[in-house]
Amino acid sequence: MTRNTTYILVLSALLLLTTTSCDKYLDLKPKDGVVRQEFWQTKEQVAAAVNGCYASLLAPPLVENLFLWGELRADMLEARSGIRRQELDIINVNIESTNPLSNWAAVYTTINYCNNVIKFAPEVLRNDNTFTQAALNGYIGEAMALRALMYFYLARTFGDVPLKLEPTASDKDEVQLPKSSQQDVLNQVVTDLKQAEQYVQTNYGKNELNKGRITKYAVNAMLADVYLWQNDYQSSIAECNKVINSGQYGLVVGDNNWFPTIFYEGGSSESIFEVYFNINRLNPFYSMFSPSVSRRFGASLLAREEIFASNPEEIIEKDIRGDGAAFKLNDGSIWKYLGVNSGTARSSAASYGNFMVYRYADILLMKAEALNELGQGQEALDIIEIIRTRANALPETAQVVEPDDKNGITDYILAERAREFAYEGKRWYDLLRNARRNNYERSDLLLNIVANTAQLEFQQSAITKLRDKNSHYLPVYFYELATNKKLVQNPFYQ
Amino acid sequence: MEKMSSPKNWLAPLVGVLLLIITFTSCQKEEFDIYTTSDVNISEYLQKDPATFSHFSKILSLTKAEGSLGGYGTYTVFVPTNTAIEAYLKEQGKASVSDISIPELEELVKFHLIRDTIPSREFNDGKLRTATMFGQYIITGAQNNDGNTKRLINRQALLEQADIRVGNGIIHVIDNVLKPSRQTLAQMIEANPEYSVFSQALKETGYYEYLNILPKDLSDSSKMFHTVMVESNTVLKAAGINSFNDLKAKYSNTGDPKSASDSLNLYVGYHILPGLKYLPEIFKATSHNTLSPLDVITIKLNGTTILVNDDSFNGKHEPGSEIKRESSDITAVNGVLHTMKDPYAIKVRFPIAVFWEVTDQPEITKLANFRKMNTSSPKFKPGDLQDVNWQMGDVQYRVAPEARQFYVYHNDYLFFPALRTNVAANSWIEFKTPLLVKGRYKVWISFIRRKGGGGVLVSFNGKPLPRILKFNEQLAGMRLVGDTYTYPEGVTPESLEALGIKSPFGGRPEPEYRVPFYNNPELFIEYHGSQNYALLAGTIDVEKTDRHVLRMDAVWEGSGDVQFDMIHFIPEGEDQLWPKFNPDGTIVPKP
Repeated sequence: MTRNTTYILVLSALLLLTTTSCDKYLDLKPKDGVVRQEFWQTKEQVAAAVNGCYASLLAPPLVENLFLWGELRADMLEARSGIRRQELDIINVNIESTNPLSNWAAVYTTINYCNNVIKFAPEVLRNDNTFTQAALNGYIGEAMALRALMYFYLARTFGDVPLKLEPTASDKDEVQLPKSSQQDVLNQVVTDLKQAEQYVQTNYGKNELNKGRITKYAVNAMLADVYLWQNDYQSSIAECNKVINSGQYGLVVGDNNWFPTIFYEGGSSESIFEVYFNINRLNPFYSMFSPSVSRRFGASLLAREEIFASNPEEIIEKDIRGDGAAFKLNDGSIWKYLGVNSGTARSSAASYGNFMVYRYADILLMKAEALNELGQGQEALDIIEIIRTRANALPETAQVVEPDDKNGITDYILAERAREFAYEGKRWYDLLRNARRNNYERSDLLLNIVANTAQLEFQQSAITKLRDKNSHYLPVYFYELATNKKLVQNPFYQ
Repeated sequence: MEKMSSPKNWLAPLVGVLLLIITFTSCQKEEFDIYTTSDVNISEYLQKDPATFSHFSKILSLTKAEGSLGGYGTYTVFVPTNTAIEAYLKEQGKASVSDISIPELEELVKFHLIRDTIPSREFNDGKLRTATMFGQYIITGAQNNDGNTKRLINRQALLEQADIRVGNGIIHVIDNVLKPSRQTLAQMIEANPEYSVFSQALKETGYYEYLNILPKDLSDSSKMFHTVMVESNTVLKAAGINSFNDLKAKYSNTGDPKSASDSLNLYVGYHILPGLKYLPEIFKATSHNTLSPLDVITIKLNGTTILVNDDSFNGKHEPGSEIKRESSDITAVNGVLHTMKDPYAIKVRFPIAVFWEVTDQPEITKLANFRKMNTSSPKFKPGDLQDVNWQMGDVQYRVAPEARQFYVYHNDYLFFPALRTNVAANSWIEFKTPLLVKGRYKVWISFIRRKGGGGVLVSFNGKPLPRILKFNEQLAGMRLVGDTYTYPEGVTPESLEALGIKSPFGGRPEPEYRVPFYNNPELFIEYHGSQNYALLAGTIDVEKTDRHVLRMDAVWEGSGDVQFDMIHFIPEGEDQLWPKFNPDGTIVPKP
C-alpha cells in the first residue's frame, strides 16, 4: 500500500510541476511587438498611433500612386525612356485588372490605421486619467479626416469601392466587403469630414504641425472639394469661405522666392495640408523625373507650349509657375520636386520636397468653379484674375470670356488650375470632375486628352474607350477580386 | 445465441478485420503527378463549359484540331460563343455544325486561330502582329454602343471576355463568328458601285488583273499583298471628275492607259502601295512607295486626321488629302483598302534647290525660345528628335550668344558633343532630309568650325560620298579691306568653290545685305574662314521624290564638338554660291 501511495505522490508532484512549468510556454505573445490589449493605455500611445497614420502616407507606394492616379491619365506628362509598361498602358487607355497601378492596398493600409484609432482610442479615456475628452476628439477627428481623404481619392479613382469603417484587428473581423457606390462613399466622406470639423484643432502651435497635420481648415478644404464632386456648389462656397475668412492663409508673393518658399522649404503661408517627407523618408519623385537618371516622365509638349505659352517677344516676361517651377524648358524635366530654386537642382539625397494636398490658391479656384456653376461668372473671373496677377501669367494665356459663358469660364478655370497645380496630382481629377457634370455634358474634356498622349496606334481605340464612362475609373486589381469574392469588377473591365 | 464467454472467440475475427484494414490501406496506390502542370489547355477549357462553348468544341473535334489545341503550344484563339455560332448557322442555313463541310470548318478554325500569344493589351487600331493560320490578319478596334465600349474584333465581333490564360495560350471570347475576306482587292472595288470610276480606271490600266491574283498563286512574296487608296465617285465628282472619260481626259497623256508611261497609268499606280499596310503602318512612316515607280506619297498625322501629301515645298504649304478613317482598313484576300476623303495625284516637280536649316526640326520650332537669344540651350537625347538621330550624348539647340558671334543663318545652330571614332563617344549622326525632288544635287554643309569632326564620311541613303570632310580645319584668315573683312589675298569665292568651299553669308555691298562685324558695328564681314563656312560633301542622285537619309560617320579620332547651321541641296547645274544666308535671317540673292 505504501508503495502505491508513494507512486501517487510522485505522480501528483510530477503533474503539478508539468502544469505549472508549462505556464510560460503556453503564453503566446509576440516578443517583438505590443498586442492591442496592452497598447491602448496612455494618451502618448494614442498620439503615437495618430502619428502612425500620418507616417503611413510616406510609405511607398502611396504618394506615388496618388500622383500617378491624378496625372497619368491626363495630358501633362510625357513618357520618357524609363517609363514602365503599366504606366504606358494607362496612358494608352489600355488598362486591365492586372495593372499594378490599380492596386489600392496602400490606401486601405492607411484607412485601417485610421480605423484603429477611431475604434480603440476611446478606451484610453478609461485607462489614463490625464487624457481628456477634447484631446481624444482631436485625435479621432484627425483620423476621420485622413480616412475621408483616402476614401475621396479612392472614389475619384475607382468609382465604387468597399467602405470599410471598422478596423481589421483579428481573424474574426469581416474583410469580405462588397463595394459601395461612389455616391455612398462620397456621402460617408462628407459625414466623416463634418464630424472631424467639430473635433480637430485649428492650431497645433507649430507651423510644420499646422501644415503637416490636419487642421479644421484642411477639413474645410477637403469638404469644399468633395462638394464640388457632388455638385453642391453652395456648400462648397461656404467651406471655401471658412478658410478664406480664417485669416490664416494668403497667397505667397509671386516673385523669385515663390517657388522655393512653397515647394522647397514647404509649410508656406499658402499651404493648408501637405505630406511632409524628410531625409529619412524621401519622396518618390527623384527617380521619376530627374534628367540625371533614366527618368520615367517629362513635361509634355502641351504643358510646356500650350498651357504655359511663353512670350516670344520678351523672354524676361515669364509666368512664375512655368519654366523653373513646374518644369525646365531646356530639358523638359518636371522641376517642381527637383528644384531648390528656379536654377539649382536638389541632390538625390535631398529629394524630400513635400506633396501638396491643398493650397490656398486651390481654395480660391474651387470657389471660382462653384461660383461659375451657380451663374456668378464675373466673380469667378475676378478670382482667376487674382491668381493670374500673382503668378505674372502671360497675356498669351489670358482668355477673353463673357461672364455668362459658363463653358468658357470652365475652360479658363481648368487651364488656370493646370498652370497653378501643374504636377500636384490634380489634373485628371479636375478634368473628370468637370467632364461628368450634367450627365457628362463636357465629355470632350476627356476625349481630347488622348489625341495628345496615347501612342498613335492606340489613339482611336483609346478615344472610343473613353466614351464609356466606366472606363474613367480604374479596375479592381485582380488580386483583390480573387481574395474578396464579394467584389464585383467595374463592368468596363469585365 | 450462445453467450460468448471466451475472449478467443471474438478476438480472432477482430484480428482478421484489423489485418484486412491494414492490408487495404497499405496497398493503396500512391498518386503521382504525371503532368508537369495542372493548367488546363484550350480544348479542355472549352469542354469544361459546354453551355457557352459546346459548338466550338464540336467544331474542334470535327476538324481534328482538338488534339493539337489540347497539347503543347502557344496559341491565341478567338472563340465564338454558342449563341454566336447558332446565329452563324442560321445565316448559313444549316441546322448544326456537322452540316458544314469539314474543309469549311477547317477554314473557320484557322481564321480564329493565331500561332502566337497575343493578350488584349496589344490590340491597337490596326492588325494583330501575327496573321491567323488562315493567312489573313485580324484587325482590332473599339466600338461604343449606348455608352458601353467594347473591343471590336475584325469589325465583325465584340470581345466578350478577354485574356483567359490557359496552359497553351490565350482564349478571347467573341460574340460573332469571324469571317475571312473572300474577295480580291480588284473584286472588292468592282463590287462597290460607289467606286465605279476608279474600278474602270483599274481595268483600263491593267491594274485590275494585277490586283486580282490570289497570294497563293504568286511565288514572289513581295507582290502578294497591296494597299489601295481608293477614291470614290463622290470624291472624284467634287474634283470635277464625273466619269471615267473625265478622268482619262484629265490624266491620260498618251491615249493608251495600259502603257506604263501613260500618266493615267501612273495616276492609278500612285494609289497602290506595295505591301499590306493598315492605317497604323500608314501613319507610322512618313512616306510610302507606290507602284508609280518614281513617286512616293507622304503621310502626316495631324491630331487624329491622316493626311496624304501634306507637304511644305519650297517654303509653301501644300494642303494634303485626308484619309477617311471609318471606311478604311478593309481587308481583302490580297491586301487592304483605304478610302480617301479628297483625291490626290502625282505632283509634277522639277529639281529645286533646298536650303535646309538643320535646326528646322518640329521639336525645336515648337520651343518657346526658338531663335531667341537665351541662356538655356534645350538638350535632346537620342530619340528625342524624330528626324535627327545620333549615337549618344546630348544634342543642344543653341542660339549664338552675342558675345561670341558666329555668322550662322538665324543665329541658331545644332550642337553635337562629339563626332569621333572612340567607342565611348558619339560617332555618327543621321539626318532625315526635307522633301527632295528626284534629280542630282550638290550637297553643302554649313557649320561652325570647332575642334571636333576632323574626319567625317558623309553618305546619302547608305551610299558614301567621295570626300572626307574636316569640320575642324581653319582656313586662311579674313582680311580687312576698307570696312569689310573679306577673303584673303588671291582668294576669290570662285577659287574656293573649286576647292569645295563657300562662305554662306554676306557677299553684297548693299546695306540691307551687309553683315555687321560682331564687336564693331562700323565694320562688316563676308568671309570668316577660321570660324564658319560651308563644305561641299559631294553630288547625290535623288532617285525618288521623298525625304531621304543623310548620314555622317566619324573616321577620325579626337575630342571636340561639332556644330551645324545648314545643309544646302542645290541642283547640279545651278549656281552653287547663291543665295547666301545672313544671321539676321536675310536671304542674299545673287546680284
